[in-house]
Amino acid sequence: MWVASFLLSAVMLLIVVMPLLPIYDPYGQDLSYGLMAPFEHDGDKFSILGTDFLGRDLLSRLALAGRVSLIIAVSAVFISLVIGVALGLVAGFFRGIAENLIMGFADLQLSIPRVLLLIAVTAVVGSSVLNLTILLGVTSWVSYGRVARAMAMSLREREFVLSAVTQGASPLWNMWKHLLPNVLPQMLIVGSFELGQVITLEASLSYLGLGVQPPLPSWGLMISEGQQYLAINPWMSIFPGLCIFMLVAGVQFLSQRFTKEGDQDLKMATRWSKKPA
Amino acid sequence: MMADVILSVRDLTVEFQTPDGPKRAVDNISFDVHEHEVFGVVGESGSGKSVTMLAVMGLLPQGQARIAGGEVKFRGKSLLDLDTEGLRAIRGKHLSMIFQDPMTSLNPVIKIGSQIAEAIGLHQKGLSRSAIRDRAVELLGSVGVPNPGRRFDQYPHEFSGGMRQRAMIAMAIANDPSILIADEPTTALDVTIQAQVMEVLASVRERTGAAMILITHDLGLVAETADRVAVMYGGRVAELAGVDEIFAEPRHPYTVGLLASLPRLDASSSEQLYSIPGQPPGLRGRPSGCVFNPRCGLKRGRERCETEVPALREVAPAHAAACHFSEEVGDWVREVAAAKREAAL
Amino acid sequence: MLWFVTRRVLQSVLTVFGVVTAVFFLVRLSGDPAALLMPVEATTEDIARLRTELGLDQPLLVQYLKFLANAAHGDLGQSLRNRTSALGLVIERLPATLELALTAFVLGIALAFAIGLLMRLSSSQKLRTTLLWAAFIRQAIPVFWFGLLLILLFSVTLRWLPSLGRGGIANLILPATTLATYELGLYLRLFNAAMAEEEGQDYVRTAYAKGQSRTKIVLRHMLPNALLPLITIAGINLGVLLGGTVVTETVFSWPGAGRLIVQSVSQRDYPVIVAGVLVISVIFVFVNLMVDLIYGLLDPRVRLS
Repeated sequence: MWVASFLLSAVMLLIVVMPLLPIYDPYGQDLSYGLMAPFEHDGDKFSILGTDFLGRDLLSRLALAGRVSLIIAVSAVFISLVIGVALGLVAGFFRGIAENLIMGFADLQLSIPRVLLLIAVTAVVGSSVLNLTILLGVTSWVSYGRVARAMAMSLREREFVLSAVTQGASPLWNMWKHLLPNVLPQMLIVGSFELGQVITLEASLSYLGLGVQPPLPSWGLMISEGQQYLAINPWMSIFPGLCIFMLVAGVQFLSQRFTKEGDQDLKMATRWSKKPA
Repeated sequence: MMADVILSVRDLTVEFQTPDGPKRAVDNISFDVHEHEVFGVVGESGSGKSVTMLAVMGLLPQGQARIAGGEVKFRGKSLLDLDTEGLRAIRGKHLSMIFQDPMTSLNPVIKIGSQIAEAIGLHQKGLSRSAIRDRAVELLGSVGVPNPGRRFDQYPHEFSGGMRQRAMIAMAIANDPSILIADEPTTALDVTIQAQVMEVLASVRERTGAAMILITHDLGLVAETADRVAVMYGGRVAELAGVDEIFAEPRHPYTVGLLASLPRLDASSSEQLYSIPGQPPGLRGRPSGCVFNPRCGLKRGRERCETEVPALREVAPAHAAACHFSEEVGDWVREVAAAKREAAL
Repeated sequence: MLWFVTRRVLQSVLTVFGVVTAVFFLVRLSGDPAALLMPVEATTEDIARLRTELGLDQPLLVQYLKFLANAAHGDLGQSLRNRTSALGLVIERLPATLELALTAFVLGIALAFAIGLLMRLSSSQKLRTTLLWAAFIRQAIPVFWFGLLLILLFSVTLRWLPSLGRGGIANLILPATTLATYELGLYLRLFNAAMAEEEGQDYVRTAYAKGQSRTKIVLRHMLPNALLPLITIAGINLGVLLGGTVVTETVFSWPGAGRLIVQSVSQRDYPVIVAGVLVISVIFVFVNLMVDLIYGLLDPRVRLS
């Protein structure tokens, strides 16, 4: 647990606290001070993590990029959670045609590798932060949908839902009042798992030049910009990658903990199972 | 001690790792099993009966449970001192086990015949493949699986529940073991199949002369099958005696409760089935003193029940009970019965 | 079994059909391709001419049916950049992609297997934990950054291996390692989880009760059962792997289909994008079908039903 806390607080420190300190403007170019190494003094100019090819300060760009990446990822997770829960609950509650349509659509979407799907759609709609966020959100709903559907299927047979149905509660009210609160905690666990994936996806797309567009920085984009200068100033690519790694590892570590704790009781109960006598 | 003791368990204690630290699932239990007899172990789920047998076989889930003390001797040889190789030589050869659920206890991707052959090949070295196969087919036939030659090549999912349990029995007797441990062998089966499986077990025992430890929650089954019984509650042995003695004259309030909760043919239909008030204790919330005291009708507020763990002591010839007030049990049963008759009038 | 195979094959055909349809409408509904294709200074007449040329003035349904008919003949239009068959371009690049993906797949799965078994059979808890940690860390590193680190170490600093392009074995080492280790991290964790799940099964206890040895129980009883879920999960994760291939190809300038697609996006060469996505999706669907059939062969419950 302390590993996750360490990684995440380091990233948060960079993203949230760093911009409050007197550091360089992330957009401020100064070509005469390009490609400085970390801790390098060049006359009166000093940059903690060095500069990129346009002389922009890496540290302040990393901080800004982190905010961009995190905002995109969290919003995308939120969008996919809403879509996934809505579709999953409808599929699991109504069954029948609605379920076949929704799950068929999910299967179809899964039969195109996610990166490829994103590339194809980006090619069509163009890349911007907003498009990227929506796309990442819209293409990631399936795991929420599947879990929500499975839970809705079992919940609809439970007494409190059945009794509400017999008392004439509308399906919508039922889903809102009875199913949603029961499904939500599980959805947050799925979300914590997906967050790491979405961060990586965003970074990959931005690296490919199909995500965040310059001059706005994103970690993936910064790595791509740095690749050309790998031999001269490798730090341009190393630092942003390190940031992605720390954030993703921290998030995955947390989500793993959630999943484990959620499963623990189940595991204990089924292991070397003794049926209730 | 009697001469023909084959398995002797002394002060066996098993601890499970829980989030609150180690907890005793089996607490200081002792019993003997004699040659050729059927020894019943009765208790509710969580009473520690299955865990005891897993401990005897050295099959406790690693990392989760460990033997914290005591001794297990098979024919005078300590099992707990054996290394893995030593244990392997005994498992399946001298001590073999039949589990509750034949569906999950058989490997779904291996043919039934191969699973029996595996048991034979492990302990009868030097047998040729075809000899092993012949023996396995013979075993399948001997437990009443029709068409054993063809069934040999089938997978568990092609067997019915009763047939699967027969296959499990065939596997368990493959090496003519001295002791068969049957852990709830009929619980997962249909009622009609249960009797057939018990019959198979009886005929198998008759043929091989093996002793059997029958673990069950079903007192009726014990009454029909067992020679002697240990009643377990909360990880301890509550009462230990011959089956006739226990049914005729129980000496522990828990046994009394168990017997009263048996459906009886002679009871009037209006009479409600008795159930012991309260729940059996889980691993974490074991009460101090006598584990049964919160549910005991004989306690009558006596402090000793809450402070002192009752030892398993001989209360009559070959009849042991772990109750401080075992001598009062007989009178108490008659009192309660009288009160009940009065209430009915 | 026959019913199972037929059903799965039909399902796959249906999926491919769905993907084709989805890609068509995705491209068509997103705006006027003619306007997008022409240079900004093009006149309205120019655009109209191109619309007629491409058949864009016809009703959507007619266009769709035409697209389907052409697709069935392997005609997915011409590349807008160099006026050759879009599908041909993709197919031309396919061997490079397959070389990279297959090498990485075989390498990754073989290593995952060997290490996974070692973890089960070794009694050292330390070794197990260390390996799991390594797998976890590798999984948290984005594919493209790991590739860059390899380039930095082996090409820039040590100058042992080339960092760009395709050629001999030397060119293959870095991209294949990048991809294979990612896969290794993924499969090792899955394999370990599947085996750990088997560890608690009743039939494993039965095998112990027979007197069977730990090694034999792992290999004979647990492994075949753990393979079943592993194969399914591996199939599902193949999409991740193919996506990883696309990114890896870009990192190492590997002349594969993935890099072609990415380049086509910046060149707005839609027919090539469509062809690329379709081809890779078809491969993906096909491999998934294979995975399911293998699963069916391994599981007697499916094989014999």
